[in-house]
Amino acid sequence: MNILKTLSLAVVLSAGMAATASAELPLVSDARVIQPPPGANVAAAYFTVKNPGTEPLIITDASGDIAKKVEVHLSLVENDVAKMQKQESVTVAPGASVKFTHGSYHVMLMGLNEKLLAGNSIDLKLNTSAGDIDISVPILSLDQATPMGDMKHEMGETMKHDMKHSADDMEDGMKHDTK
Amino acid sequence: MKAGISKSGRTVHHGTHSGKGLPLILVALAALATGIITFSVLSDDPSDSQSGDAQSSNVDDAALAALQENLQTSLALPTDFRTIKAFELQDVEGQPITQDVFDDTWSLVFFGFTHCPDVCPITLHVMKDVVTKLEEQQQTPPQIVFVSVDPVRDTAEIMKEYIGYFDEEFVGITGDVNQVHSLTSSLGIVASFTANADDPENYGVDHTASLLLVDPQRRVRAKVTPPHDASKIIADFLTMTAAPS
Repeated sequence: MNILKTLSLAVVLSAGMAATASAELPLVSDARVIQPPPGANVAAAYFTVKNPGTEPLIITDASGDIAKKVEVHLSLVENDVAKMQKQESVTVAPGASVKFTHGSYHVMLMGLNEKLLAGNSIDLKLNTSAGDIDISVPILSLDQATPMGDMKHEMGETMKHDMKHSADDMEDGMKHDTK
Repeated sequence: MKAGISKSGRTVHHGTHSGKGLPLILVALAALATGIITFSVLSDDPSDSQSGDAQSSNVDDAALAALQENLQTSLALPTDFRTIKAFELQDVEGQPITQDVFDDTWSLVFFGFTHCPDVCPITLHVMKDVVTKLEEQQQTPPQIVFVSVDPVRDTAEIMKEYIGYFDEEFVGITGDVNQVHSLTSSLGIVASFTANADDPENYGVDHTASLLLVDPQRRVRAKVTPPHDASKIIADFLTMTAAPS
């Protein structure tokens, strides 16, 4: 598990980004997607995006061949109603991180082109103001995802669409490599 | 944080929905986009509710308040709050299923849909955890019931695969969209569609996040509020089932 997870943290930045000082590069960590139950043809990908730069990082879109439709969504519970809202963009403030996680932002995969099986991984691309970021996202089983996950804590918390709040939600210092 | 729900059983407004016009527009859009016409906004028919004006002339009030004190993540409801009404829908085998499924057992009921990537699988996973842990404690777990709020896409076949993945003992309910809506709205459950203009088939469904705890007489006895945590749900279940009714 951990090996898988660590491997997944490798963030491959597109060629256009190569000239930028490495300290400024956005870092994506803790990427995972939960194997959906059979019968479901949707899934949600989660990860943490850290912006070490001095400019706001704007995530405008996501894409991938794994599904017919890939969109950035926000889950929230408002007045006891669970909702999902498509996001035009998500901003990560300079020096801050935003967690894409259960009950909050996620990359929604709709119309899966193949079955997601735990142990494999999928490729996604995040389109950002700092260029495209390719991420490899390991597929976890629900059992793998829940005990170590933040789900229990974060599920159903009041999550308003408040960038600043999310951006202030600093990640807990996960180490990983970029190349 | 108990999403918009007062701790007092007297002030429960079932089916907390915004009802300010916008959802209706979304529903209309969704209907256009998907061809689904009627399964949508929650009715909040006051004649339906027996909780609203029943002022504290009732000796049960004190008992209810005392019960509430001992609950961690649930809102105790008066025993006359709501009862599962008669219905005839489909189980995961495509066979008729009626209100009788609620007889003689406590049930924990979740309203969701299989095109839900985030909330629904996790909630079912928590419910499985509740059952497993109660069994480990030699306690009789509640029956778990998953009612689809998206019965058009959630056919019996899909429901069987989806629910069976968690536990084949879980009861799945789907069926005719109007009849499902009739059941959910009678319980104050919200199910409203959000159109997806780019991709009409991938419409979203907003739905009530709370679970309902139903007693063996089909009475809705508590609303279990998110975030859903197995140990808190277990504690509340044991409190509720031990309480006199």
